[in-house]
Amino acid sequence: MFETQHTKHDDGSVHVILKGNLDAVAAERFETELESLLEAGTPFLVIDMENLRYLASAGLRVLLSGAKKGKKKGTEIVLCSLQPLVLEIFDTAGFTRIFSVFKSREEAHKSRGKRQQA
Amino acid sequence: MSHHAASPGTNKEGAALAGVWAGLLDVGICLAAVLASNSAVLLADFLKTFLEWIAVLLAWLALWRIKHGGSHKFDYGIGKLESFAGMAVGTLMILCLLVIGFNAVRNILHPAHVAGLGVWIGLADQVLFAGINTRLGLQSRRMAHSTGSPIMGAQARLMLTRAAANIFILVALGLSVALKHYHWATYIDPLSSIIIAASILMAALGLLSSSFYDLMDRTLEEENQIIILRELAGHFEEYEELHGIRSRRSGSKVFIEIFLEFDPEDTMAEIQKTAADIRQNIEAKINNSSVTIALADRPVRNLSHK
Repeated sequence: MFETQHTKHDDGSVHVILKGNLDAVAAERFETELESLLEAGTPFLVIDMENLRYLASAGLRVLLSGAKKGKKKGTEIVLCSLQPLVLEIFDTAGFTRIFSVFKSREEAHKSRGKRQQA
Repeated sequence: MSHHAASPGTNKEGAALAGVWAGLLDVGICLAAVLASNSAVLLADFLKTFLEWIAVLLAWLALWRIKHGGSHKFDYGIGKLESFAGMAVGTLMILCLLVIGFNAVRNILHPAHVAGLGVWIGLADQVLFAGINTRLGLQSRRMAHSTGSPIMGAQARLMLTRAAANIFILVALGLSVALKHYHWATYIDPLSSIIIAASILMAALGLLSSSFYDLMDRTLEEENQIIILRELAGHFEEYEELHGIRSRRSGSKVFIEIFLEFDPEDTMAEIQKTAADIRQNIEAKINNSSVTIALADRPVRNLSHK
């Protein structure tokens, strides 16, 4: 079972909460959702993985593809609250070099604020 | 005088042909033993040996067809044909199992002591072919390890299973003869054949499942998918977009297609270098893999979802 929950903030940033298992079947749906958020011109996207129990290679592929599209469209994608198993998969796949990973959603939003101030 | 190294294909065909001749000899001797005895285990052994010989013959015919079928007819290798042959061997093993099971039940219901000249022929046959099958099985296993061929793996399992069965039948027949003064010894014969049937079932299920999954063009396992993604993550800045990854197995071979979009400002030399790096690194990490980097400007979906 895989679910997503979106929250749009006043500054245009979007908080996406992933729940359950992001497997091959769920990845297809998540890809469509991610693409529509990128098409909408979201400037800052926080993907919250606190409730994500499993991440398959198909899910990683969607994130990699999303990172590329986001870069093209000027959307910054960051991740937060990764469970130890998911973080291990991320690290093994070398994705920690591509994405900024934060311990909490607050930290993720603060990092953007700091960069904007700078 | 010149020496030519034998190609893996020639070695495979030679090993399969040796199995065909050895099997035919075994079938003949088993038939003589069955006709000259009343042993249920020898009858089951004859039927099993005959079906196994057909399986070995099919394997050799498949290899022979490839060798004489033209050099440009199988650009992607013979993996799928080998998987088909593997499934045929597995199916024949199941047939053996049914025959042995039926005979065992019949002889438990109507027990009788084993007797006749055929028993002695059978004992000598088991000694002879335990040696031959062990030798051929080890030879095929070495070939399977060096070439990664499922057909040779199937051959090795078949030969070593047969060698173990030869030894087991030898012991069972020996005990049946030595203990003929005891009534309970009449059950050694059919019960032994049930144990042989169980070992064949294990081998057949393993062979059928691996060949079946290969024929389904299944994608790569998760750990190999991660290897591909890691490589793409390592070259993240060198391409514009990832439009898709497709992978499939064909026998022991793995085919991977990666669809990338590059910056139109990049030179061909830069694109060539990135593609070559990704391809070489993945091929080095995933055994028997063939990687193709394709240029794409739109998402390439999985064919099964179209």
